[in-house]
Amino acid sequence: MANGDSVSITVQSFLSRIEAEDQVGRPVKVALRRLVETGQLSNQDAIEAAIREEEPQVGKAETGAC
Amino acid sequence: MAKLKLVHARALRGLRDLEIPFEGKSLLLWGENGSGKSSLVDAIEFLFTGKISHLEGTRGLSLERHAPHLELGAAAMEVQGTFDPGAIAVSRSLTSPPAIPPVLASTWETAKFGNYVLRRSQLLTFIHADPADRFRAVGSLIGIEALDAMELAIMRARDRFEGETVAKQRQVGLIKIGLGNIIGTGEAMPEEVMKALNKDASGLGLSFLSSAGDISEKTQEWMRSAKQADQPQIGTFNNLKARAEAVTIAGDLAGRLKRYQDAYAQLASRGDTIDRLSEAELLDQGQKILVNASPNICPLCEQPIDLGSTLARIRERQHLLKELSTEFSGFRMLCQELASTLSSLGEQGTGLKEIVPDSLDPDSSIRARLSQIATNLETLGRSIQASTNLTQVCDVDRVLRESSVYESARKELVERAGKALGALALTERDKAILDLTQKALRLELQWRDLAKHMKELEWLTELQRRARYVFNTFSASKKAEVTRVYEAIEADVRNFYERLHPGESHSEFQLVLAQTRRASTELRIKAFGQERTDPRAFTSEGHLDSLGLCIFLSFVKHFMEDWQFIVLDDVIMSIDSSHRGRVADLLLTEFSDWQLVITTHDEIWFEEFVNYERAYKKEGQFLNRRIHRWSLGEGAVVQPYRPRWEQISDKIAAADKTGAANDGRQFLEWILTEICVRTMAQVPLKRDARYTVQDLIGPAQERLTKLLPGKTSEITGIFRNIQATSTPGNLLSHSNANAPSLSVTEIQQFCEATKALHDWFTCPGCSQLPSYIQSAGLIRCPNSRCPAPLQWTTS
Repeated sequence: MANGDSVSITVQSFLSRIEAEDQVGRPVKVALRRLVETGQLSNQDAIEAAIREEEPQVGKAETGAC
Repeated sequence: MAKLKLVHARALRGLRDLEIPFEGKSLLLWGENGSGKSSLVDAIEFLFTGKISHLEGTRGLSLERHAPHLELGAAAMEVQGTFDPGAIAVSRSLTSPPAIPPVLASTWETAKFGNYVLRRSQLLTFIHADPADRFRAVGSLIGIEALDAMELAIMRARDRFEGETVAKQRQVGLIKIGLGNIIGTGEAMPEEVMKALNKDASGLGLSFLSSAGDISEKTQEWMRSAKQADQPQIGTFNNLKARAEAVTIAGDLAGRLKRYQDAYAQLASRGDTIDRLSEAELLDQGQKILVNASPNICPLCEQPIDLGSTLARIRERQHLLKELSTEFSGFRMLCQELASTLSSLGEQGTGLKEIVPDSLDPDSSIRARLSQIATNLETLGRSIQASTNLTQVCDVDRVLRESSVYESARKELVERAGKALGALALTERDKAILDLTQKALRLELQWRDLAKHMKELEWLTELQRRARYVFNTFSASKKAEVTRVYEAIEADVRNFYERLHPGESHSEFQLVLAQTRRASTELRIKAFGQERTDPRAFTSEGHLDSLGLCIFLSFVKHFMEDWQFIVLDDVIMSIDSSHRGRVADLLLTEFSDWQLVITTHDEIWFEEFVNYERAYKKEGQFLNRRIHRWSLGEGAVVQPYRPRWEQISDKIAAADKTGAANDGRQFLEWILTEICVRTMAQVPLKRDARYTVQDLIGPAQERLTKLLPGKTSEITGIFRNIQATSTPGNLLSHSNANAPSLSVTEIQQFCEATKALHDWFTCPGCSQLPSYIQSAGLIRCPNSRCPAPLQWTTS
């Protein structure tokens, strides 16, 4: 196992679980997959937009600590 | 898979100019303490990582000042590594990092972390680490920081939705209280209010309300049934009174403003720290750099730093920022709520102003006041929102003054409308109808308001559910992966440990994610029948050392697939002598394809390992080297290993009586110790555990004679020769005054007698020493792969 493999295994497992279950609709599933693909799963604003089924606000700064 | 072909170190630590031609083989290196073994390890670490870990994180030590050779200086310091396949050369000096060719990129990506070097001083680090530090150590190997950052961002999104939902629930609660006020109860739903009003309508002989939608129409119908219904101003006054009564300021505004003022003062008093909230990311990044690169110079200000205390300070600051961040989030939410309240009041004031008739405000003074107040409240709302950056606090007294002015204008309107209605000389029934109409109009307003907020609450609740689900799913995925990795590591540690300590009272090692604390890892072991105990509680230091080695080897096995390379710098010495053979067995079987660099100052173990190489037919895969001598001016002089007997023979040939006698005596002490241990001989116990030839020779002979009565004459002959010749060996070894009178021949006879004992008690098939197996009634070679194992049946 190389350093970093666990990150991709976890993220793929997360997406698979989300996609296999009916707890959120397709738009949220698509948005979350896009966040993973664009490396934005640690961007709070982008996550909120995905959950709201909104387009993420381009250029909005990540606030980090709060 | 890349293999190290050559290491050439110049002017580094104790090395002047040393070349080790690995040729893809492993290296077993013996040297006295201080002979430059660890300098070679330092050179390898420096080549790959650009650091020497034991020079970092300790006050007063630094790579720049203490890595270069004392005489040759920093400019001459350089390490070159050559790798196969392709004989690719890579070199590093203090000022020039290596240029990594693409073909080595993947190997280097793993190798640059230096996680494959284990020094004696580090053996217990993981075991004695704080659970959080231990988690970080595992985490950095798994790459858990990235997962932590994702989990944290999702958690913050979840918290945000939860916060908004709670705020909306509070707003809905306030509206329900307003509805209850209409009928003089506590909290009420619109249907309950409507039911109560319909009861009154029934008493007055009026038609019933059926929904929010028909209140306007019904109230007009009720008004028409009143005596003065033909007077249109009744409706106007009534409507105004109802609305003015409905839009009271929530009772807790003053309380919330006080909380705002206190929170602002508290946060602003630490203004410099608040500014640092934006530094959280920088600190996270900085921590990663310091943990991975362990520099002794700050990458930002280029000043020397003490790594340990800097990391501790960073953790302290991160903790403070986390607390502050929570506090700050609460403050921001309060500001949003207050701004929304003030804005809503402003809108209500504007709405009220629109329905004030000229007759009740002939000089428009109240309407002007309401208009001004609405503007002021909205401005103050924006000011509260802006104050979240802590640059300027909103003037709370002014908010209170404006809301007080608003309240007096509202009350004045209620009073004027009431008086105007009173002046119309209404009957009691008319008054009752007007009162009921006012309540119905308030119900209508708040019903609509409630419907709007309930709809928003429903959406927020859905968002909160989604966010919780996303967070829980991510956390579960992360935990499953970490647990999977832990279990894999655990299985190997158990397997390795069991091989080093078969059938002993410690087993079932567990690496456990602490359930009660986030980011915490505990070690557990079954010891003396007690389940899940901390290994430090019942395990000896020697066992902890071998546990540390097993954990290290397990981690390396799991995380170093791209660079199968292990460096063990004198770690074997800490491990109990009876288990060291098993360490050799473990390394030669589990890591047979890996390139190993093993250094030791234990000559016995070195020879034992060489025997294991032979027994496992791995001698072709190892360079066995000795550091012959070392000096500052000459550096380390490395020579190929020669068996002990050859070294003694050399000394005899060179008439080095003292050297030969000394080596011969140590040889005898060692073989007697091994015979006693391996045959379970009864040796009188000594408090200092230092056993000499005189302590061991009798019990060894007695035991062998007892176990092998058929070989009594052979054993007696071997031991008689030793007894007859050991005196000169002892005299010379202990610098006795009579020593110079001894001849080389006498020393040679002593050494040959010792060798005879060694050869007799050595398996001819694989050169391993045999052991007594009581249950089988045998003295037998322990090597299961030996082609011709020695085996004697005991009595």
